[in-house]
Amino acid sequence: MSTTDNTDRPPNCVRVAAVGDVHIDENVLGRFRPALQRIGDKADVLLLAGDLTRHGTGDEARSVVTEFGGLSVPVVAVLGNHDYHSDAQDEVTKILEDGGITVLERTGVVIDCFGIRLGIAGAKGFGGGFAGRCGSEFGEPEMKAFIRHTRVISEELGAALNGLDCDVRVALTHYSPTPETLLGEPLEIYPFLGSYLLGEVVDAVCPELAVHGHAHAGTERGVTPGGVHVRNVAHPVIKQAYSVYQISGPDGATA
Amino acid sequence: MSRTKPDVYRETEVQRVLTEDERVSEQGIRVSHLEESTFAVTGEVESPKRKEVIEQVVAEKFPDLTVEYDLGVTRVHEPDEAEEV
Repeated sequence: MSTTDNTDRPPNCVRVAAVGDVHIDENVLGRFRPALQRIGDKADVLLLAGDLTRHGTGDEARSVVTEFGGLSVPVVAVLGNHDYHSDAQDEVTKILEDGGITVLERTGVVIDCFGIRLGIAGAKGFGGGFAGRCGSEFGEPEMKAFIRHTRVISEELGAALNGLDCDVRVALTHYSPTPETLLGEPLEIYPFLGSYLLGEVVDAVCPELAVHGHAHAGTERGVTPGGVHVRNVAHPVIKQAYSVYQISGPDGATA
Repeated sequence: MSRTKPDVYRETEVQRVLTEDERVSEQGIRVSHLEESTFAVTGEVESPKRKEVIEQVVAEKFPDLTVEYDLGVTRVHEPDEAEEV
């Protein structure tokens, strides 16, 4: 996968556009498209950080393709909890993939951005809370299943991040790997917004950027305990069609 | 003996309807208790139609409550600049 020509872009960097929680249905269709027409002038790739749909139906997924498909930059997505609501996540994934949107779930992709290899590993993630204030795999089967789901996703996301052969790494999730970007949300719901287990695997690999959504009342900027830059790109947080993060390439890169 | 249900339970009922009623399915809307039987519903949605539906569903499910709405439609303009990270 590679980006299209753009001679006006700044040298030796990758420009990552991102937005999450766009919740597309027939009433939202067409709202984002005008701002996406010239995205190739501003970014090299667009990340969608989950909750692409309202109810996770096939019809809504087709609307997502209409809105975010066929752009001048590659589009890479993870699903969010809304995209699982109709138990049709496999159908949603297939419709998005058929529409040219790469969907990651504990997997990765490498995109050639003008000579810099941008590696993105993504997963939905899940909740459980943050260090010192979190659930454990203990007690009722439902509780064990809840935290196990987060642990397994985190471990497999970590493996996907670690396996990327690239120059610049980005982690893409729907749930948050840090409490810092949840600031503004009620403390009581933090365990439903993210998990330290996601942060732990991100910190083990230290990507240049971690992007998530889900926390509509949160804060755009934060870091993990290990110092990785985290950006909450939930649409109500960034309040624009997408945000762009510019990451320097490695010394000596050809871009 | 019957008692009026405390407002804190009504507040939670409204919050759950906003999430669980399939016509709404919004998790990012906040419900706040203002005074007796009076609540505020605030937040951002993705289309003007969503605002209409929220007001319609809350009025239908909670006809005895007074609800003050402050719902915005999230802007979708292009970003002016990139952030270096």
